[in-house]
Amino acid sequence: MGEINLVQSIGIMIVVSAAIVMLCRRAAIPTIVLFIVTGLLLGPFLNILSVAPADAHGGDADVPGGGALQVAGELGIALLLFLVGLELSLDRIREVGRVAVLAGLGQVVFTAVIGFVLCILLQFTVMESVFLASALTFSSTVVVVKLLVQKKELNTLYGRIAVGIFLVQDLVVIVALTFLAGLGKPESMEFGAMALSLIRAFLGMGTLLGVAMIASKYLLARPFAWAARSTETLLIWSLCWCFVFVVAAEVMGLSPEIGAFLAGMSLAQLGCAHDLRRRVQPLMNFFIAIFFVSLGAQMELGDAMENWAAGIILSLFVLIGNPFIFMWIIAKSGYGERTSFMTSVTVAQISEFSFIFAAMGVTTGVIGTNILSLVTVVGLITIAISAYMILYNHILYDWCRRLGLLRMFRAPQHQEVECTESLQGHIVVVGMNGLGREAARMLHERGETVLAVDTDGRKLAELKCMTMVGDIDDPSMIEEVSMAHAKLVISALQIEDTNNLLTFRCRQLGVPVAIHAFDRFVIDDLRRLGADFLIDSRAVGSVRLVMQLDDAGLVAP
Amino acid sequence: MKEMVLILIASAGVLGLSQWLRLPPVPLLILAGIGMTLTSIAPESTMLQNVLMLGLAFLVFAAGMELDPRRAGRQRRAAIGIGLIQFLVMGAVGAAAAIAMGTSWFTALYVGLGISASSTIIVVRILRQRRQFFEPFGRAVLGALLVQDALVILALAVLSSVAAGAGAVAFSVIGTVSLGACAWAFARWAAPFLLVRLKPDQEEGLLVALAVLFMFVGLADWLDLPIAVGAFLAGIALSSFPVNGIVRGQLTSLSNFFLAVFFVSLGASLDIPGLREIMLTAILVFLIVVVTPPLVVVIAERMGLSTRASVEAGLLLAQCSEFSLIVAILGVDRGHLDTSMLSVLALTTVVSMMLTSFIATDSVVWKLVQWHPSRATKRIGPPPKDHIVLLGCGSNSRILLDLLLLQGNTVLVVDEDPAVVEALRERGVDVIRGDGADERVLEEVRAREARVIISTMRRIEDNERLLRLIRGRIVVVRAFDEHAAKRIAAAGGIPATEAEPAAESLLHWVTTSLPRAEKTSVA
Repeated sequence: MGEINLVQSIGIMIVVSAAIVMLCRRAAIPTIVLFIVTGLLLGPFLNILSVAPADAHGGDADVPGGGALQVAGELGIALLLFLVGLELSLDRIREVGRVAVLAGLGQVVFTAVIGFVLCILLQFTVMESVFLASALTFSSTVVVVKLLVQKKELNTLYGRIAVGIFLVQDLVVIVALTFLAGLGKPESMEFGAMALSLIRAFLGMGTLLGVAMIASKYLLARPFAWAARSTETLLIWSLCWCFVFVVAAEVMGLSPEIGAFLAGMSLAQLGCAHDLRRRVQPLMNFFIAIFFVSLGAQMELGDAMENWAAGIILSLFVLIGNPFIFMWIIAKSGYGERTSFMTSVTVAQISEFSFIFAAMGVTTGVIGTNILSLVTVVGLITIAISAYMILYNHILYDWCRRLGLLRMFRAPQHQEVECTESLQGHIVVVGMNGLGREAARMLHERGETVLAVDTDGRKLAELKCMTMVGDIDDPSMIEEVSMAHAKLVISALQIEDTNNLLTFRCRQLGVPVAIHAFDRFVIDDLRRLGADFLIDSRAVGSVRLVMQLDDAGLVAP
Repeated sequence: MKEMVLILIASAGVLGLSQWLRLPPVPLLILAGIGMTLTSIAPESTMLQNVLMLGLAFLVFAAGMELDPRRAGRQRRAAIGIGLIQFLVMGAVGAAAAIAMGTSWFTALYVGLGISASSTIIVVRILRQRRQFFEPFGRAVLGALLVQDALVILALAVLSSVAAGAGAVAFSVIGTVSLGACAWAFARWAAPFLLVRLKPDQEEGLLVALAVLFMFVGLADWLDLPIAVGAFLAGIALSSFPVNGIVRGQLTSLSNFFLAVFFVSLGASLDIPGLREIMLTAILVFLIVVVTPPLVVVIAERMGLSTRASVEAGLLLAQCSEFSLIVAILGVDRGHLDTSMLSVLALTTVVSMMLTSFIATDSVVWKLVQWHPSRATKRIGPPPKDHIVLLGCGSNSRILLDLLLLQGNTVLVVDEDPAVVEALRERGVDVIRGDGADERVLEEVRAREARVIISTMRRIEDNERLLRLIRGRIVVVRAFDEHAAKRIAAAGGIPATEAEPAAESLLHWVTTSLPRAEKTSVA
């Protein structure tokens, strides 16, 4: 099926994965697994989609459709890391910097060495063992971050440590890629060339980091505040900023992930960062789905059954060995048992880079396709199982604790304090026009906890109560304003669609809602939808006006 | 990836520019794309083709989702009248112009279809900026645009199969109708179940919405219909409340992204037009600007809109729709249309959209209203004295009128809505039809001799004009918030704000029917 175009292939991907996701809702399977399964179904099994495997990191494939899909996948990864950057400011990363470097590097060394020995013991050749060991070493940033974003635990202590570790590993991946690419052609194995590319990577990292920091401190605040007047401009500007960094990172020989992350981080301090995050999220969801489906579609399962024993052993090594090493390193750095455990669980899978490593080895001819399918099997197993482990990490922790498995690490038993308080019994006021502001002010003075919401940050500037920039149409706002726990939701907006939807959602949640009925025309709909109170500004305005006239002696005697 | 970044940089620059200059972004985005071609940094064409098709699908999908007949409110009849007649007349005019310029009749049909509709994106943006969504004319215009969108898509389905003979036309009509039935059934049963009853989380909701889009696009493709038909019907399948609201929240940023990229890529994939193309473009723009306003004014007045509202509607609708780009792209895609015609239609769209920002202004409206031949207002009884003039008395102000009458005032009402005038006349209220900001109407009601003039007109500009026209009288103007009140006061009127009493009424309700805050208040 060579004539399939981009719209068709994306269409097939989305329709099939939506069907699978909706059918498997009850089973609470992580969507990542379902996307990869979709890819496997469409690619290797049914042969509907043919996605060219990436030849190297960031390289372009020659197949037209495959190339565009790859760009879409790259967009997804970049947006994901951009989101991560938006969530984590540099200070928050710096707090965990030491442990991230220590654990990141430590784990790479340990896993690589032990993995190599394990592979030799499983009777692979030295060359095969080198490739297998490096494939086992790295964990998948994309998988973990996607799950953390989904769980909304990116900003927890363990989430931050995990992100720090992945950033360190991303740098190591670049080194490893250069090294492994050289294995096939001995002439480029010189020490000088290696050192040069290393220096280039670190210089690039330094430059980008510098630019990001300077920009976020001195350059970005005013232009972005201006752009935020229109949500469309803000979104496109930020995406542009993100992708300029991605391209710059690629030019400097860094991974696009690092570029996107730094771009996000430099915007994290801005007032609009929170709103921006919500706006980027659906875009990311769309493109990352394409990424995972194409990942599944390009898996080579050819002769996977031959090495099933090795596959299982190596998977177990990644699933248990990696967290074990981590647990040990992090607990040594003085973090509590719970945090150490949560962080360690995140590394129990191999990365999408592992497939690239193996594919590279196959193309240069130093390993056979059987190794590639072995890596694919290990990847599938570990990504699927670790997705479950991360999603249910709290339950898993309680289990391991009860079984006494964690005692041997002698981790400190103290609990790091996490700020997870959410609002309760507050009043949400949407739309800071004259009515909204007045209502927010009056309720605030009455001693209520008031949360004022508007899409325009400028309108929230002078309010004394709590404020949040955002579009109440956005489903994630429902959680962020903790609407289910509010005692009242008020909309002063003069936008019919938004008011109707808000009324509907409040009814669903069983929260009382007062809506601005700014025109006779909207009243019937709002009544039917079950608004508890209609702020009939026209009617009360009329009464007030006549009273004013009366006071001034202007009405008939 | 680098190409994507180039396009993004271009659109980021343009969006900034459009915000700064207060011009609509769509024509500027296309111009930026053309600029990329001229400087030969345009991305290669397969990439552009892919982006164009995806963007097109999202554009039409979003339009389909807005298709809710209730948007037109009470102006449904006017909306259908304006939408349908403008579509037919402009289509015929465009086709005639194209034939006169020596194109084939088939190309002429595409050109006609291309300029037959007005732009939803542009008009909605202006209506939103001026807060005119709820004025009768705003509703009529919005409804007319929806009618036109639907007509263009239907016509496109037919036109794309005309070349293959009558059998193919019948087949595509049957296909469109049955796909439409699917969309209706989906909107009725499947969509509420999937997106509301199951309470999907964000990611699932997004996936379902996009799956609906691609499913309909796929079905349309399978039936050999243009993909725009599929995308539009997919939009309709998700257009019922509250499904549309739930989906809209998810899709906003996706469509922002794809539309920006779509318009730039479109510009970048255009041929540089020759003299003949530029001539045809000029003629089409001229026709749109000259024919549309009078045409719409005549229909709108027939349908019962006031003179001024009709003129405003006419000026607002005098541009080419973004759907003309879709017509042209799909025409080229099917091999029915020469790529030079894509350039013609795109340029026509760009120029006419830009012109709208300069034509559809208050000052032009007033000038045209003065030129309008038939402006005789009906005389009322003997000239009153010591009366109250109430300018604007729609259903929102009925309570005000009742209170004034209850206190025994002589009230003279001016309103531009014929339905309102009719209803008030039946109740025996003295009322004339006209615009409260019109000098002659004010003379008619003896505004200068009135005790008080109360204005409930929505637009601040109208009220400022009113205050300029009758200086020195007591004019009470209804204003929503402090901001409006300040402007009214500065112009010499007495503002009566609604926000404050409204907030007080809310607070009263809160105090009587909700439990008090648990923590003790400080004050």
